[in-house]
Amino acid sequence: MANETAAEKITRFASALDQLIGRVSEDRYVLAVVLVGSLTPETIWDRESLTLWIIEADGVSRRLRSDGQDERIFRILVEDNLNIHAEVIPRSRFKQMVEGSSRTAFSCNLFAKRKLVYCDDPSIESWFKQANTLAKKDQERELLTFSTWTIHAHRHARLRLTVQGDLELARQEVIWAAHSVAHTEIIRGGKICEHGVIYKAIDARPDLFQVIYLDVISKRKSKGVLTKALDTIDGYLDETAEDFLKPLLSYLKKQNRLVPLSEISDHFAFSQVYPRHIESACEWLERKGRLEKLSAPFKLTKRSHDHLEEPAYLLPE
Amino acid sequence: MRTTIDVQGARENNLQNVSVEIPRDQLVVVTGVSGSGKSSLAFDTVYAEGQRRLLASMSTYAKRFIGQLKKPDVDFVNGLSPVVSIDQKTVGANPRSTVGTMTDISDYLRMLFATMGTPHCPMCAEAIPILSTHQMVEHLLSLPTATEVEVRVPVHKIYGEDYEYLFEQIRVNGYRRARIDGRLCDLGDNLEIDEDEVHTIEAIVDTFVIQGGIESQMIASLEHGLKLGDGLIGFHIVKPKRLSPKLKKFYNGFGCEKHHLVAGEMNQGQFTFNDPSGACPTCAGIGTAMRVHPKLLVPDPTRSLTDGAFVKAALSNGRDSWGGRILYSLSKHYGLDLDLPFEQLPAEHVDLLLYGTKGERFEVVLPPGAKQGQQHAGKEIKYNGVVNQLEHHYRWYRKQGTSNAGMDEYLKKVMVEYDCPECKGARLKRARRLVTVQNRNLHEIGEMHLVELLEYLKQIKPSARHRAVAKIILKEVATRLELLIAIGLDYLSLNRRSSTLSGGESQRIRLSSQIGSGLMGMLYVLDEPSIGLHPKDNVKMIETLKRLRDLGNTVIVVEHDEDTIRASDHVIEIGPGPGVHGGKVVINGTVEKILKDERSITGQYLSGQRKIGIPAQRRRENDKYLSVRGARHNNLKNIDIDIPLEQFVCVTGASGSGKSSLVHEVIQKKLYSLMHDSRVLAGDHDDLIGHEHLSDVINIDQSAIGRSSRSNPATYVGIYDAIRKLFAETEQAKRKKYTASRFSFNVKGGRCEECTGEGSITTQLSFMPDVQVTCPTCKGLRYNQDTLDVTYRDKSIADVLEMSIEDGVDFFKDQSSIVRKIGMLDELGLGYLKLGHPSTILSGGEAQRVKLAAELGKLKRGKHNLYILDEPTTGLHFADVDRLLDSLNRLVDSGHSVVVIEHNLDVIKTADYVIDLGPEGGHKGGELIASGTPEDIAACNQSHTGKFLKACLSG
Repeated sequence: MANETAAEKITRFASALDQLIGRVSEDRYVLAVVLVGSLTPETIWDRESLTLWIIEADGVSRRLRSDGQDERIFRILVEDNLNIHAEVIPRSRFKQMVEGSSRTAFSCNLFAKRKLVYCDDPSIESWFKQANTLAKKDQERELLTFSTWTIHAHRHARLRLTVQGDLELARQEVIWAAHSVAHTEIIRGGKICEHGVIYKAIDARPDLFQVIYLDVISKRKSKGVLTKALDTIDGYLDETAEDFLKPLLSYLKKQNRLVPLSEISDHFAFSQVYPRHIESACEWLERKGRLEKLSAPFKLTKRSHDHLEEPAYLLPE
Repeated sequence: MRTTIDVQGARENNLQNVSVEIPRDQLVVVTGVSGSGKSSLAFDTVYAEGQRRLLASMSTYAKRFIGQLKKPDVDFVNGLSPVVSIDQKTVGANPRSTVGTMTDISDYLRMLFATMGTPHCPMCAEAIPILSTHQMVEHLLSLPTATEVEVRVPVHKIYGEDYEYLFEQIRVNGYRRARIDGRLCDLGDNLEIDEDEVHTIEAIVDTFVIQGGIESQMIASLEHGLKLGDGLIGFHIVKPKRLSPKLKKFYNGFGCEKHHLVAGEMNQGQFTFNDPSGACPTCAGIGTAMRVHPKLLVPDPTRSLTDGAFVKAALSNGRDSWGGRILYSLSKHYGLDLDLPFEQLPAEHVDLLLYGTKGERFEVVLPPGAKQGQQHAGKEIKYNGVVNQLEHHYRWYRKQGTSNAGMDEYLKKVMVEYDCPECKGARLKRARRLVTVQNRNLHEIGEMHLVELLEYLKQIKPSARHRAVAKIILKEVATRLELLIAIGLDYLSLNRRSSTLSGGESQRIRLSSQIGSGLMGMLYVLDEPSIGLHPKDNVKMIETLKRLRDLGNTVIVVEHDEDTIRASDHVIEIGPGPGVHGGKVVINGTVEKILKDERSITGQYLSGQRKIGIPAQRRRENDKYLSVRGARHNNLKNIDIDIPLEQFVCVTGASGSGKSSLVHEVIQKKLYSLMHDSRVLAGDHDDLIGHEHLSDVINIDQSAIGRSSRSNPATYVGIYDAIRKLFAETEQAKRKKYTASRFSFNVKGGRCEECTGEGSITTQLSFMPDVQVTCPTCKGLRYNQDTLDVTYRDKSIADVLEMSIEDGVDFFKDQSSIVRKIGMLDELGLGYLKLGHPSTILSGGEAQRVKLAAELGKLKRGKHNLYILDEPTTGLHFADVDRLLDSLNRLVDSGHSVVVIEHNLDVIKTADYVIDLGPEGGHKGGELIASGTPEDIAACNQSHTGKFLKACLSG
């Protein structure tokens, strides 16, 4: 196997999968099998294993002591000497995963590009098909998340560089910002963030990533390289952020009032947009003249009688 | 078989090694003057020992989970049964406790609704069938193979939230698709929806393609769906699109005709407002929501905005605060005068402050001298107003789903409760409100008065299927209702909050629960069940006590009421005097024996040898009145009342007739609001005229005077500081440079540090009762030796605390300020109390008299106060009532007014003026029946009080 070609490896994996499907199709309690990832060399090279979701009927789970409390059970099977990492999920739990997953950074990539390789329940097929389509609102949420991450990292990188002159940490922040830009580019293109997001993004926007990523990691650390990367990210944000921050702007428009930061953060509480990221985004929008920043009273503890103040933002008409 | 409860060597509190035999299976009254030791015998000895032994019989394991009781100071008590105490304590302020939950009737009614309720479609109100998930699956599987069925559940937005929030909730529950007004939508997309329109939203729970072997997944799916749909679920064939006659038959009798909704099986928990599956999502089952009351925002309207007219919690006015910036900016833009008293601001400016600029923008201008906020200057902003901001904050806080005392306290300062806008006070979810039995839902029947409810339940005709279960439930409910009606609580409704019940009402409800339990061989100990009862209701109460006895129980009642004593089988009089002068059994026998015994003070009053006299001349009305116009609070029927001032006025009426609503909720609160704090909201009424004649309103209630054992009569009436000063001025103290604080057991220096001035040390012993031992260092004296060495007239500070009040009067005879105050305590019959008597062990009646003494001690000339007392005779023996009346008359003679809510005829007959409300309790009350002198009331045929008073005046 040491000298196995990529094509041979894929064939070996596919054959093992077929064998497994042949076996489970005999089992009336197994309703569907989903291939996680794709059988391409770049997704299977690192683990030399297959990852599957096996959907079982409700109420038939066989639990072991080592399974803990989660409804989803991990099992390692073997076919043709290839270890298969399977997650056995009851149908109702799986449906919840498919339909209810929202407001997380993973919702875009959790189901999309997963492949239903076996199905004995037509309803699973129908909702799985739907889950593989990117919902507009979910996509917007993902873009909001990654763009706020970009703004946050960019803000810190600029401060490290200009205030502290710390090239090392500024470089690190720039790389984080570049990774976030990569995610937004992939999502914007209607694609799914899987392995090697940065490489896919480089392929899609080579000029952009040459400056903000490749030059930063390959060239000697210098203020010039980092400043150029930051300026380019600035330009990228000027061009795109208004659109990516749409959920935030829509929320403020709907509120039509001065909204304290704590309330904005609370509105996006279940996504991966953290208060500090929201703050960075709001500050950026304020600098760009899109928001007005004022303040609002804030009680620090539940028993506090006196108010402190927190930032509050208003979307001008 | 033992026929008595034998108590030997009882020494609790002031009991002097008492030995007594209490007959079993009889109605026994323990009586005696206040403080004589009645409660010490009945509660602290008999009840405490009975309860302790019951708990002691439990396993060590069980004892870990229950509080342990200390053994009373008694040699032995033989012949005890399981013991239940029914005291006068009002139920806590938990808003979830109602008459229904207290009596367990709500539990039975929930069972009734879960068993035989008829659900209705939330969209077309048609009755819908109840099916188990298995029945639903069976029906679905009757469809031809490959038929595709969409399973939907109706969902509704929470009041005050938008549709987007509802969609988020659907997704959080694990569903991504929904039909909005029938149109299929992906909730992962941005949906444009008109928020002002009412939309029909159905979450799509699942889609099944009918085939064999899918039963288990169907069941799991339907069960999840029923949770989201609050027990309702709909089935729709989506493939094939054109329905054959066979497919059409699927809907026949399966759900409502239009929406194809069916209901899942119901359980009791779904009708509980304490359970999320039953509670209204807007108010979480409380039945009320809160809104800002502008009056609460501005406690003192004579203050200007600069002086802080708004409560700080709502809008601060500091120049560097956000509120200060807004106020100054508004003043610049709209000409708002910040220095004008709030009450003089023009209406449009008040509206601006409270409800905002309605979208209009104005420039932020920083107040002069502001150090912060420069970055805001010049920006244009909108302002939503204090009211909108607070209400928005409240909704946000409620949405968090958590509660914290600090935030509740903050909101309560500026908000008032009102009926929940979604459930209108019904506390239940929409789907539960749509379940009916005999065309009434659970909330509607909870609103009925108990008599009406009993009638309604009798009319229920259960179907053959439900007959057996319904019969049992209806019988249980009817028995409980009959008992409640029998003890005069017919005017209550099951939805009435427990916190609004009087102590007497709570006690009677608990009593009815005990009778309802049907147990025999029990020992019941009751504390003054006659309190709060009109003589007409008292007759019913006595009947109930007899019924409890006739069930085969022993009933021990601590009581002063003449009718109850006369109705008893056996009377034990403790006395002869209070405190150290009492604690002995004066007489133990039948009522006849007591009447004949010269030693019995009770007997003397019962036989008429001693009696409370009718005043030879009543005070004449002058031209000063306090007049209430249009009182409508609770059950008051828009009545006008004139209370003559500088008189002793009694407000009477049947229990629940509206006395407390009138006196406390309307008069007292309105006066308090006018004189002290305008944030206090009085009960509903039109006007209160004549308050200008009064200087203050003082309520003297029976609540404890302190929660700490460090509080005592000396500290309460304010003589302890003077006593400490006396000690500090002695030569010894001056020499040692001791100040007055040295003689306080609350601060370091003079107190014993071993027990930190408590006098005793409490050790907690896991599953055994806490052990309290006298402090080994100070021997219970509370002070260290250096402090005790200082004496005033040969008494140390500890000796003074141990001194009885009557001894104190003599000891401090040359200290006029001290004598005046403790003399009042003595005159009110509290001379037996020690000066250092911990206030935690004072009875309600004693606490009230201490308060009264404190008030009498600070009488000032030229002042005209209105004193309000609610049943001050509680806990008072005939002999004590006489003393109390003297004190009240002294208040009136000093130019004050006294209004007393009272049922005690001996008090009513001595009043100058009586206001009788009624005729009955609850919805049948709230009217003014008669007013005038007691003789006028006695002459009024419509007045129940009059009938009893007539006999009393003529006797």
